[in-house]
Amino acid sequence: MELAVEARALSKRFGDFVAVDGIDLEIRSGETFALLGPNGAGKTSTMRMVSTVSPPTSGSLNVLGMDASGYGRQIRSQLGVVPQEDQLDSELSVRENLMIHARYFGQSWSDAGRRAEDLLEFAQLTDRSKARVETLSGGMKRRLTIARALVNEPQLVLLDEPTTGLDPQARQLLWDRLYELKERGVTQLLTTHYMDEAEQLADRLVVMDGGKIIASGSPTSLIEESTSAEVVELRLPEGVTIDGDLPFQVETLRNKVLLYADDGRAALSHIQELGIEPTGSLIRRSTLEDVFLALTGRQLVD
Amino acid sequence: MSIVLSGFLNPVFTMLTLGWGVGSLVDDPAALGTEDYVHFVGPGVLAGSAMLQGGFYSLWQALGALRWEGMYKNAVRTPASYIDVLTGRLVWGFLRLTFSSFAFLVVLLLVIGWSGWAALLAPFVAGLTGMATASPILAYSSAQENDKAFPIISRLIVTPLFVFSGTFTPVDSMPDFIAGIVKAFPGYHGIELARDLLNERAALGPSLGHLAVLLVWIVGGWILARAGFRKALTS
Amino acid sequence: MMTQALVTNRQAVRSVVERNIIFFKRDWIILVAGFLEPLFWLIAIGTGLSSFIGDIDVDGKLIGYTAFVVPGLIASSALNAAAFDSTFNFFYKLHYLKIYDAMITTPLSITNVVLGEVAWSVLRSTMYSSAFLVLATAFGFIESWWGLLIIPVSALIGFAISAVGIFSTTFVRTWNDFDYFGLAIQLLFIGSATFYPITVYPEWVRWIVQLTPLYHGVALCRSLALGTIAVDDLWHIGALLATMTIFGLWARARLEDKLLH
Repeated sequence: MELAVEARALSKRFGDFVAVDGIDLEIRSGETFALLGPNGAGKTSTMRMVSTVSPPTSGSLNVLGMDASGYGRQIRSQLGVVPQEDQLDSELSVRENLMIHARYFGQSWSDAGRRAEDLLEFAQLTDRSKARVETLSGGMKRRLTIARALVNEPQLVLLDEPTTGLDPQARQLLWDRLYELKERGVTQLLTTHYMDEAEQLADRLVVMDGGKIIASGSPTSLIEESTSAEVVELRLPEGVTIDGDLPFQVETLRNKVLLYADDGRAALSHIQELGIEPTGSLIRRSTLEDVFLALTGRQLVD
Repeated sequence: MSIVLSGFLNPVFTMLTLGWGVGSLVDDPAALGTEDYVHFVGPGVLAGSAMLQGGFYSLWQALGALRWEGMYKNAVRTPASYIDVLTGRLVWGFLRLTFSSFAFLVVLLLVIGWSGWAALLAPFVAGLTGMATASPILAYSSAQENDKAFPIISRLIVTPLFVFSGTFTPVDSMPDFIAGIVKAFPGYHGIELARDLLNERAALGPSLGHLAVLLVWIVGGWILARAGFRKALTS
Repeated sequence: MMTQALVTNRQAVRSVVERNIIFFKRDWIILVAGFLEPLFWLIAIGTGLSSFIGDIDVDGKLIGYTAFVVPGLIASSALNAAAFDSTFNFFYKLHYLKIYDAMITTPLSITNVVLGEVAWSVLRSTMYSSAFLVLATAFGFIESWWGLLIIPVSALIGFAISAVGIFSTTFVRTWNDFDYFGLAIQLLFIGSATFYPITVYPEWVRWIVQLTPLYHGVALCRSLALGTIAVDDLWHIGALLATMTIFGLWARARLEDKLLH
């Protein structure tokens, strides 16, 4: 199988600080791959190395079949990058942003113009094409940034936290666009700390923490392997705790207790049979959030 | 630091290099009406640079204080009104410029020698000249939402006024239409007055005339700037 | 999948220049205002003082004061053209717009980016000085065909100032630091023998002045305008080329540290 990204023992250090600690990655062509983890996990550093703007400290890194340290320009010409901060040129208009970006890739003005029209439509920004970037909403800016990353019809698109800070509607709209890219066969590498985003978009993912990969697989397989099918969230009266030998795993957090059970209803009755009456309860499917909690033993911090 | 660099070092340097360099070329200083070129350009730079700084004080610095930073907005939540803030800004600008002009004056007097007690009034004239420029520009800039037009004001109004108001050259040696225009603006009057004071030739009548022009510009600008301050601070 | 030819260095540098052209197309009046500034100084000092100052001896040739100042101000207009874009605007693009971060995710290299910004300054410098040269010639201040070479010389000035400007700006932390730049630019403008011959300075000041780039530009423009060019002037060209190269490479290294981390 053709690999879009292949990393072996890839590390990045800043002085004494180890941002990425010897990770291995294999991202297949055409798939959507997510790096999941809290801030400081090493996601952005990994993305920057893949986009060839940050030289690895050690290890090997191949992007689109080329060595990242020797073929930066060749790799970047087939890459689309959506950085965490939009980095749009806010002195220029929406359309000019797309046009000049296409020029950076060496496209002719006429190709750039055609491409800009297509992308404006793709990003649903056609009616804002003359607007200054600073007048756009957060969601529009994000869509423009994604459109800009596509000017060169990239084989691989890197998206660093594509929906952070967006409201639900804007987020949904953005996800639609990313699905469409996926259908076109574009490989996507994205970072996120939203569990639902990884579940929605990614074919495969790795969970990173402290610069290391602590788990990998498809969203469903990770949920199956690391946690139960369902989770019961309980709120208990003051002073009441759950302990003893139970047929499911229990996790006590500051303000709630989680029961990891394949049958949530049964687990809840089990608790009630023990004479514990929760003040509130919720049975839900388990999510990557629970995977993360199970793997690291702590909640995600933004 | 800003006040030392742009308020002191910059004018001192301009005065010294031009006074020294150009001064050595001037054949007939008497035609300038002063003892030598330093006596001419020194007071010119004193008031001229105050004018320049007054202009900048009302452009980006003013927009920053009014719209980008919170200080003024907080001030109007106290019993101080927006008019107090406006007056306060001009008074503070006057004090600051007068202070840095005194520092400049010390250097100037070291170069040209003691020239009478009247010389000590020159920094106050410089402070007034700065505010006579700052006040009308403030009327404009306080009504602006952004700094888009500021480079144009700075380069096409403030700088030409600095260069043409008699700072380096007698106004009357310039083309008539330029001389006519600059005489309507405060810079020229501030520079003339400072020059008279430092050359021991200030007569009461003309001095009061120059002073009146400066005050008219200050008060006029103050009246017009109230609307912009009200809009920026109370809405 | 579209197969894309890899961008050439020349295309890459040109695209960075184009970004500036797109911007200034809308704000062209800023370009005009920047051009007018040295013209104001010419009217005020060059012509205003000419009636108080007699002829000046330049390499044994006596010339009027205005004719003496004009070439200096042409060189200053090249300084003016390059100074703002390579300092204030560069800082804004680097830290606020962050457009260089975006540029380097495209095939552009840091070298392309630096050369592109410098090339824009060169373009702006040559536009200013060409316009100034036309005016000066019309008023009879250019006495020799050598004067045409003022245009390439102002390109060198633009390059040198831009390289020094970008290099210095990589050290800037806050807007307040630009007060030092304002002073430095004023020092260069007035101190570079623009308004009087360098011979009025004592020996030690002359040495300092000769270390600054604009002085060499002023000296070259003056020799070319007056037709007093001699083999000696080659060292001014050497000084400008050295400034360009040293600071250009230095600026690139500083930016690599800043952007490729």
